[in-house]
Parts: sequence; structure tokens; C-alpha cells
Amino acid sequence: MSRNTLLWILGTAGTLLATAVAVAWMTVGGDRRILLPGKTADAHHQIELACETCHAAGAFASAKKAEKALNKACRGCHEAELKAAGDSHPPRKFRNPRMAAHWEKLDARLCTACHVEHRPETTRTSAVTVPTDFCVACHSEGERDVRANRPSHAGLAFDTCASSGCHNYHDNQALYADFLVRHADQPWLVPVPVHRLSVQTRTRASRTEAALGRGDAMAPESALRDPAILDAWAASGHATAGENCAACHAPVAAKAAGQSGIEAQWVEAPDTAVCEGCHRWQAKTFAQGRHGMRQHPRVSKPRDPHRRIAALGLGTWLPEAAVAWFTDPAPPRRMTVAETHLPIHAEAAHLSLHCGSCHRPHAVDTEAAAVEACASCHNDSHTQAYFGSPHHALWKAETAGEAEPGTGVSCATCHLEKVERRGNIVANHNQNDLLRPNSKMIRPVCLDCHGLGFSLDALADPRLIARNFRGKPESRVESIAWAVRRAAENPQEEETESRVQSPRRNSP
Amino acid sequence: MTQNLAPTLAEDVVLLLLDDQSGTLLPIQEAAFKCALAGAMLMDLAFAYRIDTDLHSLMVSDRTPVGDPMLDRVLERISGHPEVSSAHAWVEILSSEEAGIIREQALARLVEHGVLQRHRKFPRLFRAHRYARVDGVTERELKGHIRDVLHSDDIPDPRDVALICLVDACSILADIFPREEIEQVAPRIEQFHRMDLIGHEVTGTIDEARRAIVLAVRTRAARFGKWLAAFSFGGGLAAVATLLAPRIPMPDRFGPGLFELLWSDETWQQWSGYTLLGISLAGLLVALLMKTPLLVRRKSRDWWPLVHVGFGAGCVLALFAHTGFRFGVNLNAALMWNYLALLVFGALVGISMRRTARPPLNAALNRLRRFSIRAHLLALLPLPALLALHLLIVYLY
Amino acid sequence: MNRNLFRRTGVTFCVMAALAGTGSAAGEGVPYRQVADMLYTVMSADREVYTHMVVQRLVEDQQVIAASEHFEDDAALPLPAQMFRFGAERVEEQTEDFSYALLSLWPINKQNGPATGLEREGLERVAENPEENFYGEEELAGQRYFAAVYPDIAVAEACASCHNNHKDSPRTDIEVGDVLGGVVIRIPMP
Repeated sequence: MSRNTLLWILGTAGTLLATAVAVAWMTVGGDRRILLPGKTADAHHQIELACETCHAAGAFASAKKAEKALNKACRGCHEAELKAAGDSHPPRKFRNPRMAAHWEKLDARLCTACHVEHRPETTRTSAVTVPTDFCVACHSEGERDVRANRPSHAGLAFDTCASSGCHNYHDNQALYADFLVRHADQPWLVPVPVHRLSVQTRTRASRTEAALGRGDAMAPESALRDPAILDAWAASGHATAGENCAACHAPVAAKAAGQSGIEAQWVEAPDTAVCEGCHRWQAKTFAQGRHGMRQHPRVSKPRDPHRRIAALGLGTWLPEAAVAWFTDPAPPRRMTVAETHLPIHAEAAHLSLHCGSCHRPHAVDTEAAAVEACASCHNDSHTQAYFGSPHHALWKAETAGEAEPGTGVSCATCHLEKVERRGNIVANHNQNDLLRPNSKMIRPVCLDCHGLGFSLDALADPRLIARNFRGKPESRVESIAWAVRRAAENPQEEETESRVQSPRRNSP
Repeated sequence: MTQNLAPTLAEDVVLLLLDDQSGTLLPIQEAAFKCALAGAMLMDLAFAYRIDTDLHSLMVSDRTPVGDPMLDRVLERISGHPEVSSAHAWVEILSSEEAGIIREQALARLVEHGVLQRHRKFPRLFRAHRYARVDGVTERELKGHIRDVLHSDDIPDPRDVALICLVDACSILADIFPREEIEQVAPRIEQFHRMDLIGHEVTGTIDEARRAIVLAVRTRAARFGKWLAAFSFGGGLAAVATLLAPRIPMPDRFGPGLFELLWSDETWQQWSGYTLLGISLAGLLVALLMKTPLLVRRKSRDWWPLVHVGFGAGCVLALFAHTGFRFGVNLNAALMWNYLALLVFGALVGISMRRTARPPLNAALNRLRRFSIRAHLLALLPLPALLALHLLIVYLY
Repeated sequence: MNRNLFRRTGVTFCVMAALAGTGSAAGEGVPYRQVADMLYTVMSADREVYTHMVVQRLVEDQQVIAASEHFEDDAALPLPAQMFRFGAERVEEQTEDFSYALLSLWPINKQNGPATGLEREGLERVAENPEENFYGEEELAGQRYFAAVYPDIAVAEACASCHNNHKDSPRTDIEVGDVLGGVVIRIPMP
């Protein structure tokens, strides 16, 4: 056999083998990291190997079907959030065929028109992959030209629409003109700066009429040796709510059997499933947020190689060792701190994210979870600058009992939305709902203590944010001034005003 | 059995070109060597009175086999194609279609005659055979003999004249003897060329063959060499430059900019991708055709390397259109590196070919050319698999 | 209440769209023009019901709630025009068998101005001649559409005053009975 023949045979065999193995990785199972076409945007890296989450159309689906599946996946996780934000550009507004001219420029019927995955080079803030002046597509021509419609906008460039603190594509709840006018002339700090929704969470913790006392612990003797643990529990919300030790350490026995059953079933370190049993909504929102998204129900599960191999008729033929090759690497169910792309403390890298990461098991102290827990991992300038910032000073005063409840500002005040559910104020553990664009925070958080003008200015000043609001905003967002001037030039008639606006209800 | 056959001129040429140290043939220009072997065959057939030439054509004067399988093979071929009628055409044909066989046959016969020994020191996959002289006598005899002929004023043997004309016509005399020595005997070689030293009947044919060889070598080396090198150089330079130069940034202005369409619009990506694939496949096809000359019309054969290199340069452009020389990550990066290696080594082959075609031969460049050819081919090996996956990934996800 | 109204409207539309689909494809049955007219009848009836029985009654007569452009923030009723638009958007989400839009030559939101040649022609025609609807055909993004434009008239003082006073409105001289714009209904043709 000549050298050339040998090379031909080797080359062909190698090509076929390599292709077959990689195709098997794609279709049956296996480690697909080398097939990733590019880094995924933002927190999506946590689920980037669960390809089927988004690529759900199946092999050789038409481009249209694949695109549809991708967009369905986007909406599957993000639709509720968009709806809550009163999305200014929902896809349904663009489905009418009269928008056909717009489709060609920027097809707003599709999430993927602006958010394309695996494109790190063009991925901008909020996973946007089109240039920042994309508003130009629909708002720059003829009668639709905002520069012509709004004298104040005459000389503005389109890349400033969304970067100036004036507009967002989706969420304009705190930015629309009438809202600006209504909240114009507010002082930078309101007379009684208190975060209303935080007040109840803070006051609840300090309630004294505990339902259970130290004697009601219900735990084996051996477990009660550390008095600090007992003290922590007795002062905790769990004791207040009537949950004893056994409720978590031996949940089944706690309901039925007596002391002996509890001893027999005692679990030293209970799983988070115990927490999730009662705090269902928190667990659900945790899985929707950045810290727990691997547990999101819409994230595809690792593929079952046995089933797929059996479907190919190779079930008995393929040795188990080969099956291992075609098994999806199971990423840990919980993300570890090391996996994040954000700046973190090296010593926290090994930690994984679950309820206990932020909440101490016995004290279940939301104070620590609201600041120390965050800062134990996050190590960016905004976090570092928090300590010693005006917000931090207020927080210290409140936690020391020197200031009224709700006057302190913790990390969680701004980044973990407080929601009223069945009469309780609970934390929405999906921090996405209150994160980006940062104007999301204006209405539920900032405005409780600050005027809209100051809030807009502060949130549009990246250096001030990096300093964690030490000092004053360096520049002014003109939107309120412009909106007020425009309203003054076009005064609404008294009659209309009263008819449309009164009787006003629910006004604070 | 070939034991008792007289050595052919081809054997002499091979023997003269065998390098003692490396055990392989001297790294001379491939085309020249092939032409020399083809010419050697024609001269041997002339000496055996089987072919004859007049001013315009070459004809078979006697179809009877010589009794030497090497020569008879060629004789049969020539008599089978009476329509091909010039010495130049036959040098062209034999050099491109028969030279490999002639070389192997010559080597085999040298081994058989006990002149050479075959060694297999290295895995066959990467190295050709190596040969060592059994005693060195034959070669030294041969070289010494030629030297004698060149330095003496005696009337030489026609076969010696033929051999000297042969090696000189291929510009490989300089590879065998030191430069000063050749300069010294230059007038004598000139004399040989005029053929007035020998009054042999075959003189005309030998001379015709010599001219044919000179012509063949010159056209081979120079006809498109300049363009070949220019294309290779241009393509290679573009590949390397864009490899090192900073990427053109993706536009930051909304609108149908060319680069944005090229590098992020899926339809455009598919067009550029399949264009790239098409050009690459065309280049590959040309390369395969070059290696099977029977399929190609002879007159256009010189064009083919140029076409191949042209496609290579086209690949660089299409690659830029497809990727903007962005490497991507993982599989895409592997594919990009692989493809660029193919292009760059291909360009090196083209460039070094031009340089090695001009005598005097530069041994280092010649080594570079051989290495580049090998690397060019090796780079081709993983490409189909990477490309298949690159495409499949689009359609499976 | 609003939700029910939307839902009912949607169901009616779907039934009628199905009629249009089967009828026109077969070449017999209900002609496009008639289907469009039927759709418009339902739309304008529902809108009228909302305007009079919900908005007019609760805001003007019984004065229990306001109607506001920012109805969520103001805990108020959506304006009739908004309700109409939301219905149209809901239809977009559910079917491609037909679509409709409330447009004007003098839109408060500039995106509701005419976007195609047919829309402009239709709006101009019904503005000049409110007695007659406008029918036509046009091709958008490779698809042929039957299009009908119906005049949209300021039926109440509220319509006129809002359009005269809104800061984004290009007109301030609208009186009750004037044409404010038009409803454009499109049905894709096979």
C-alpha cells in the first residue's frame, strides 16, 4: 500500500469518525462545549449547555421554525417580566401587515431582531446586539421623525435615546412624559424618606409575642448542646411563626410521630427542599432569577443518552463505557460563585448558591441576607463603595435601632423587590425584575425617598453608581424640563383635565 | 530480468543526483528533473534507432521492442500516439505522466544492479525511501568520467555528450559540480551543444531532444511563474496581514452597512459561506486534475497551477467576507486556524516555486517548498470533518 | 368587565375571519368586502357599547371612575380608542386571517399615521367623503391584501376635545361630527 493510499484511508476514516462522534454529541448526548459558537450573553452562560432550552425546533427544522422556537424560548422566561414592565414595544404591536416596511429594517415582532445569542462582540448592555442607535429604524423618517415632532429633540443623535436616561425600548413606566410632568419639581429628598414596603418587613422581625419559646424546640438532646443555635432560633421568625427544630430537621416526624420519631428521622443538615416546602414563591422566583436559573422549569434537562441510543436501535449494542461518552455533563444543579462572570471575592469562589448561601439556617436573619450575604461574594466597585455610603449609614442606623424602620437602604432594598402577597410583604428573589435597565428601580424604590429628577440624574451617572451614590449627580437629564416645557406650551383645558383625571383614587 | 541490460541515461541522471549524505535525491527543481528523465528516455530511444526527428516532427522509425522494459514502455506509448509529433510535446507528456514511474524504475534497477541499497529507516508514511551506495564506486566513476570528458580535448563518446547535454539542459549541472568548475568548462559544454564534435547518425535527434528539454524546462519554470508567485504572495500576504492586523470593528451605527450585513446577517453569512466552500472545492478539483493529467488537455496544463492559486487567493477574499478574519471560538476557531494554515502553506508553495525555478537553485528555499507542500496537504486532512460540523451545527440547532 | 368585552370581541372576530377564509378561498361564499363590513360592524358596535355603557356612564353620568390614557397608573378606565387598539393587538396575537387598525391623518401618536399608499388614499377619501367607505387591494411584504377603510367620526364631545387638547395632537379645530380618521381592515388574499 502506498503512502498516498494510506493517507487517503486514514483521512477518510478520521473524517467520518470525527464527524460521527460530533454529530452524536449534537443529537444523542455528550459534552458540547467545543461546539459552542460563542460566549452567551449575561447570565445565560449558566444554562449555555442546556442548548435545547432555546434550540427547541429540532434537527433540520426550517429557519422560520427555528427562529420561532428561539423567540418562544425568550418569551417563556421573560414575558411575565415584560408584561409587568408595561412593555412599550410588545411584538403584537408590530404584527399588523401595515408595519411591513418596518419589518425589513428591524423586525420588532421578534426578540431575536435585537437580541442574538453567541455574539459577544456585538453584545451590548442588556444583551442587545444591534447598534445603540437602533431607534433610528422607525422614528427618523417623514411624519414619524421625532426630531421634527419634538423641537427639543431637533439636534439629538439616535444613540442618545436609550443611553441618556430618557427612554428604554421596553420599560418606560417611570419615563413617560405625563409621569415626568406629574413628578416634576420634586425635591431631591422627600421630607420623610422611608421605603414603604420595607417598613413592614423590618417591623415584623422585631415582633416580640413569639409563638414558640426555647422550651418548644422539639429536638433530640444531642442537637441542643449549642445554646447559641437555640437562641438564634428562638429569636427568629421561624419561632415566631410556630416552626420548631423538627419542622426542618425531621419534617415528616414533626407532623405525626412524637419525640422518638423525631430522633429517629433527625437530619443534621436538611436540604433546601425543606425551605422550599414552605417558602414556595421565594423558591420559584429564586429559580427565575440569576442566582438559581439552572433550576428554572423551562431550562431543558440533560438529555437521556440511553433512551436516545435505544431509539437508534443501538441500545444493546453500545457498551456502557461508550454511553458515558454520549452523556451530557451534568452541571451542578446550583451555580457556584466561581462560575459567574462578575467580579467576586476569590475566597467565596467555592460556594454554591442556595437558600443557605444568604440566609443563616437558624437566625434566618434577613438583615444579614440583605447586605453581608451579597457582599460576601460580589466584589465590584458599586458593592465595595456601599460600605460607608449614605445608604449604608442609614442602614446601620436602622439596624442599630437608632432610626425608624424603612429608613435604611440595604442591597436588597434596591435589588430584591418587595411584593405584597396575601397581606405579607415578601421578597421577589428574581433580582432581574429590579435590575436592568436601572430605571426599573425608580418607581418601586427610588421615589419613596427621592424626587424623580434626582433619581433620573443619579441613575444616568455611571460614575456616581460606581461610587454607590456618594455625592451628587454630575449631569442633568433634560427629560423632565423638556416634558414640562412641552406641557406648558400645550396646556390641557381645565374641563378635560377634571373630567379625565377625577375622581383620582389610589393617589399617595 | 534486467541484470544484463545496459544502464539507461535515466539511471545515470538519478545516480548523479543522489545525495550521499541524506540518501535522497538532490533537492532540485521538480520540473527540471522530470524533463531530464523524459529527455533521457527519448535520447535512449534515439540511440537504439527507434525514433527519429526531422526539423518539425518526431516519428517512430522502428516499432520493434528494444528489449529493455523501461524503454519499451515509452516506445509503445509514443508509437500509440502518432498524432503527437514533436519532441517538445513528448517531453511535456512524458515529464508529467511518466516521470514518476521512470524514476522508480531507475531506482529499482540501480538497486537490482547492486549500485544502491534501499533503507527504510523511517515510517513509510512520512518519508520516502532512502538509498545508500553500496560502494560509491559507480557514482564516483560516473562523476569522474564526466569530469574527464569535460576537461579533455578528445572526441567524446556520443552517449557522454548526450548525458552532459541532458543535465545541462535541465540546469542541474550546477547541482552536481561546483560552480567554478562549470565556469571553467563552459566553452566545452558550448561545443557539445553544437554537436559538431560527434559525427553520429542520431545527432539530430539528440539535439532536438535537448532543445525540447530546454524549452520544456523554461516554459514550465517561467511561463506563469511570475503570476503564480504574485498570486500566492498576494493571497498569502493578505491572509497573514489580516491575521495580524486588528479586526475591522462591527459598525456602531444602525442601518444596512456592508460589514454588518456580511458578518451578522444570516442570509449573507450563508451566501459568503457557501461561496467560500464553492471556491475551495473548485481549487481542490483543480489540484486533483493537475495530478491526473490525462483528464486535462495538454496545452492548457501550464494554466492549472495558476488557476489553483487563483482560487486560493479567491478563498482569502471569501474568507474575509465570511468572517472578517474573526476567529470565533471552539470549533469555529479550530476551523479558522486549519483553513488559514491551508492557505498560508499553499501560498508558501507558490512563492517558493517561483524562487526555486530560477537557477542557481536555493537549497533552503527548496526545502521550504517541500515542507510547504507537505504542510499544505496535511492541513487538508482535518478540514472536511471540521467543515462538516461547522455546517451541521447550523442545521441541527 | 373589560376582559370579558375583549374576549367576546375576539371570539366574534375569529368566527368571522373563518368565514372570510373559507368563503373567499373557494371563490364563492362571502366576498371580501362583505366580510370586512361585517367585521367593522362588530368592531364599531363593541366600541360604541364600551363608549356609552362603560365610559360615558361611569365617568360622566355616575362619576365613579375616570378614564385616562394612563389608566393603570391612574387606576382608571382605558379610553375608548385605547380599548379599540388593545382589541386589535389581541387579534394580532391570535390570528393572521385579518388585521385592523385605527389610523388618522392627524394622529396623536405619529405611528398611527398612514404607513402605506393605500392607507393614505383611503384616509383622505373617507375624510372628504364620510358617507362612503373605501375599498382597495395592496401588496405588503409579498402578500396581497384586501383593504377596507371606514371613516372614524368624533361622535362625542369628549372625542373632539381630547383630540383638540392633547399636546401631541396636530389639530385643534375638530368638532363633533368631523372625521377624525379611519379604521383600516385588511384580509390577506390567497
